Amino acid sequence: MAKMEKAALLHIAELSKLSFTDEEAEKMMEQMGDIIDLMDTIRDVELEYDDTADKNEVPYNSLREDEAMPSADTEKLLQNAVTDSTGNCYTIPKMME
Amino acid sequence: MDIKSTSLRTLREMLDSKEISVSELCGECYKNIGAAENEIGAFITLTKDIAEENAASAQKRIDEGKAAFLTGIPLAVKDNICTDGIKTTCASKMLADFVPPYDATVVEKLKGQDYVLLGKANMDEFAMGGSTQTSAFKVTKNPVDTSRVPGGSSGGSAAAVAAGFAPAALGSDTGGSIRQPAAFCGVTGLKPTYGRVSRYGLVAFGSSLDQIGPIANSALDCGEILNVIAGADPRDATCANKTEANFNRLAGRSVQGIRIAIPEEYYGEAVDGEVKTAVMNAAKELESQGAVLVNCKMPSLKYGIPAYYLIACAEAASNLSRYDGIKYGLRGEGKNYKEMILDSRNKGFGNEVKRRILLGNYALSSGYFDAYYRKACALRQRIIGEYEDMFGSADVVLTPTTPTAAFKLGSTETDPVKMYTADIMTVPVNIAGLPAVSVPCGRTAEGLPIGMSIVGRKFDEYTIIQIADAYQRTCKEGL
Repeated sequence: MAKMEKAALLHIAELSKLSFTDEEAEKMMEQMGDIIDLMDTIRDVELEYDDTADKNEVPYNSLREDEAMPSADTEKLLQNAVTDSTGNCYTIPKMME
Repeated sequence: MDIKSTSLRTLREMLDSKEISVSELCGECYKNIGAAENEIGAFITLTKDIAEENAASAQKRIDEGKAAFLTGIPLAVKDNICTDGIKTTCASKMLADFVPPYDATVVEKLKGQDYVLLGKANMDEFAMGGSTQTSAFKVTKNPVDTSRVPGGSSGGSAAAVAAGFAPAALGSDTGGSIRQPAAFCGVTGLKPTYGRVSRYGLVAFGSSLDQIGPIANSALDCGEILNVIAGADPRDATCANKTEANFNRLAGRSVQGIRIAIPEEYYGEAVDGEVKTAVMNAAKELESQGAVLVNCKMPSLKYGIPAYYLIACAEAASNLSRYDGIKYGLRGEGKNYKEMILDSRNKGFGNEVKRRILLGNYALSSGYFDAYYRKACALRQRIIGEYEDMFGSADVVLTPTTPTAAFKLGSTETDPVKMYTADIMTVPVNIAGLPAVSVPCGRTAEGLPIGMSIVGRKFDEYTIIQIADAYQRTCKEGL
């Protein structure tokens, strides 16, 4: 089984907003290599995706009426967030100096 | 009383006739939980105080003569289904302290009937796994043999039903997560048609695949739960605008003349001999009742695993990008915004979740999109076509639910490829968005349950319940 290359792992880790220690990366490169080998079994299948066919597969995509409804309670919506002293805003670390 | 051998309809009659009170029924469930939960570990959160409140409301409704079918019926709910004010963790450190500010639509519907919530059931982290071993919090053991896994990802829900902790439970199924644990634990699990049940409030994994469904002691009990949770929902645009009817309406009718497809690829070398024999014996039983067995082929089954994992992980990578530690979920540390997000995700997600996010982003990344994701979507179309061919000459498809019976705890934990390939029997159903019910159909020589899956046409849960019920009326194995 081919190990995933470290550069490839670091690239998709960055896309995934994840990072790994060297030890973790080593194990992940092996496991991802095995997984990609399994996925590679479909690469040689001669088959083209038909863009138009899926539209028939999902016939239901009915949108609800655009009616005004009461908004959810702010305190409840923020109950899982780190908030400021007012309790009305969530906080994040500084983005700019 | 024996919770496991009492149908929901009987419980309903007992409650309505005052043979038993809601409080007494819940007491029976909690008595069983008290006796064995330390060993089984089916629940992440037990909600006894809430259950007592629910029971009081339900009893009042019954006393007023206004009971609905699930009034006073105690249920377990998988911990990826949002419950207002009650922790919903997805078995992840990321959501260890997450308290949803709203109910999932299915929970709203259950509350509308005054059901009783016993607790939130353990599962694989973010529903990613087939053994419940990726839970960040605890191990769940199979009540039939506690040295073995209960299956997954709805392992807690299936174990709760198998152990008699609850007469039924809700699970979710993205690639087999209701049917496979039901098969491993010797209970019945129904994955509804994609679009039959609202996904609003179900923590998203693979949005084109996920469905909520019941796990119970019989197909009829599953139908009764489905009667309550199915239906259009303005908050889920993929939920079909179907007028619901009684999903058990065909139950009790003869299976005479019903054509059952037997795809040969499902009975190959990868499937354990005892499993094949049990499923084929069940097919013969149905044939003896008048059903017609039809041999057929599903050549693309061998591509089911890569097609499924590429689509599911691509969707998961997108869905799980929302976990940044800001509005909810574990908040990591860091000098700046970027570091904080990275730390939140590194600490919050377990290894299996990380692997699937990586695979999803790999398949979607520049240079790989056509070779992996688009090819998987093409295979999805082919698999749908092969099911359509089978449904041209048959009414349902019959397959084993799993290639083997429940495996030992810890045996495949560190081998993701082995874990993925074990899903081969169940994932094509999700790829095609079809309904399927897993029914116990025998035991191995070691006494482990074997499950068979009856797969139906889109929105034809009626026929699969009819056939499953016909089998369960004559063969009580696993009940």
